[in-house]
Amino acid sequence: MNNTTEVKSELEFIKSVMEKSRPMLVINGWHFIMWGILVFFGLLNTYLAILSGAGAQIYYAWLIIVAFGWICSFGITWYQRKKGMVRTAKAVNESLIQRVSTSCGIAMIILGFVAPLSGTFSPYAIGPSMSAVLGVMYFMIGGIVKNKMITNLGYAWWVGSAGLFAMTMDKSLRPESLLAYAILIVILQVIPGFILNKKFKQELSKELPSGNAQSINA
Amino acid sequence: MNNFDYQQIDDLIHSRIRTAIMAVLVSVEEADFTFLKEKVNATDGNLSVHLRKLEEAGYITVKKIFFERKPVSRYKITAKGHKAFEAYIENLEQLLKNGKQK
Repeated sequence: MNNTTEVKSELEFIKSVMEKSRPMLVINGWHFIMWGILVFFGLLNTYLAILSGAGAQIYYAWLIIVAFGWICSFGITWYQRKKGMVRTAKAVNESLIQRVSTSCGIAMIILGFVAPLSGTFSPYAIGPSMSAVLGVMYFMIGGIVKNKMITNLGYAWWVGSAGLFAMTMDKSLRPESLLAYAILIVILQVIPGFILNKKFKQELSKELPSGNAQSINA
Repeated sequence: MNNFDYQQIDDLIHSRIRTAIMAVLVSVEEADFTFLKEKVNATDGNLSVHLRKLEEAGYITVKKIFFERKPVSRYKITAKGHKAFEAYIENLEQLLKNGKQK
């Protein structure tokens, strides 16, 4: 390495290898869609169950729904791997996204299942609290993947959370707050999930020839 | 460029294939052998030899896992490797700067 041209070419080589190797950090949206649909139907079921005077069955129904959701989550990951949709390298910050999703998931399990059992937490506070946690999750993931739409969904979830809490102040509106939460799930999770999935497929078709597309399970 | 100390250039990284391996690994969190092979464009044997050298130097780590009953080697750059690669780039840039000043 004894002349400027050689050094320049070495630096350019490094730059080009790094650019070609960097897996694209995109969200495939499948988990948003799957969890969104499950929670939507779970909320409808809860609303109808409350109207018919059901009690503990609601809690067990949610246990089944969440367990089924986790099975589906693992199923989606397994299927993607089986079909070669998960690439052979992990993008920088991918672990961070998984960490954010997992931590918010655990927080939601505690709020949804443990907190109501304590007797200090009204079951009607679950939806608004979940919305606040979802706000954190979307806001953080949006920042990590530098996606404005996901970041804005974070703000929308926080506004939604405040709105749902406001609704539960009026006792007569409490059951309807479940329906409002179900609507939020569709607007702020299921529909964005489909948009993200469409974008992911577009990026995948662009990037696949060089093998750079990286599916993120969120 | 006479005032540059060539000993500062890390010989372990200063080989086309090892430079490429390090450049790939700083761009990802971790990568499988097949990913590295595709990006570095090397044969299995050649790549293995260079990966072992970098591993012995503590620049990278390898994790052997089984995926659908097939063994998969997953490589990751270490903190020491990151530091060495950064220093390597800095040295090259310094070399370029000195060359331009002359």
